[in-house]
Amino acid sequence: MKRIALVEDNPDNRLLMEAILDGFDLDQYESGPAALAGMALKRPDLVLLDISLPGMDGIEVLARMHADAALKDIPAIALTAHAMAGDRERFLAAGFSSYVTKPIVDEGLLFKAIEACIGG
Amino acid sequence: MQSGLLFGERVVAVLRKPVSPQLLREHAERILLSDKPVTPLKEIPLETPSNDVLDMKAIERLRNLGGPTLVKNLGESVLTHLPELFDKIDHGIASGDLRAVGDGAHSMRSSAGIVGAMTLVDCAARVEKLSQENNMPETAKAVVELHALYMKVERALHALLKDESA
Repeated sequence: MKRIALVEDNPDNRLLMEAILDGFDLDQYESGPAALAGMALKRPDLVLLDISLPGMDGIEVLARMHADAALKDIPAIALTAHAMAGDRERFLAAGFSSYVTKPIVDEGLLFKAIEACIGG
Repeated sequence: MQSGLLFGERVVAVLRKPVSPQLLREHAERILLSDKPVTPLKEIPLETPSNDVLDMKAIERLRNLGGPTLVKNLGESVLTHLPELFDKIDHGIASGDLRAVGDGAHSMRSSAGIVGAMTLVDCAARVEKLSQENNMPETAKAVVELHALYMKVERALHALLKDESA
């Protein structure tokens, strides 16, 4: 079973994602520092990373992953409630493989993004 | 339960009960010591049918995903989380911390969307945008409206959870 790390501070979103990602081993983290520490111990196949995390935001978390030899190859999908013009380009330029807008209203889009990163 | 703070005959702030004396003082100082006139609030309709408050397609989607248990768990989670976000937003308004207001509204937008509370999503998005524009008078006004909308969402969610358990 593929392992996914979910980095999300909103408890309602975590609960929803837990239900959607039922078929994966899911590790949940509420903050960037907790995720970086946790992923070093349990390396995921993919990380779903909220952009608007308090303190260290998702873009900074990804930058730190890229600076860490053990974590730099893990594909990352941005989760964001932002849906502003230019966001897609900004997230891809930061190194995200894809991005999905919240709240997730179409699980199919999320699964397509996951499949593109780690296969079915 | 919520309580309105009146200035003249207009509601200018909404506080959750039990009212925090500190928050009440902060709001009163903001309003009474400001050299700007208090922005009048537009009339907010008090009653809206539940299906206008919650998009039942969103609820049905949750039911299909995880059955009544997921609807119940998410409903309870949102009912616990949103008051915490209001505390953050209200303190932000009272202390002039618009960044805290924007962060709280941003998170509220996401949580409200999960249960299909789209009017709350739209209003939270407006609060977030106004706070980013550093517009305190309009942000404060929109936050009062956000509270009023939440009261309807809260009632609708409680009704939904009661039906879901039946």
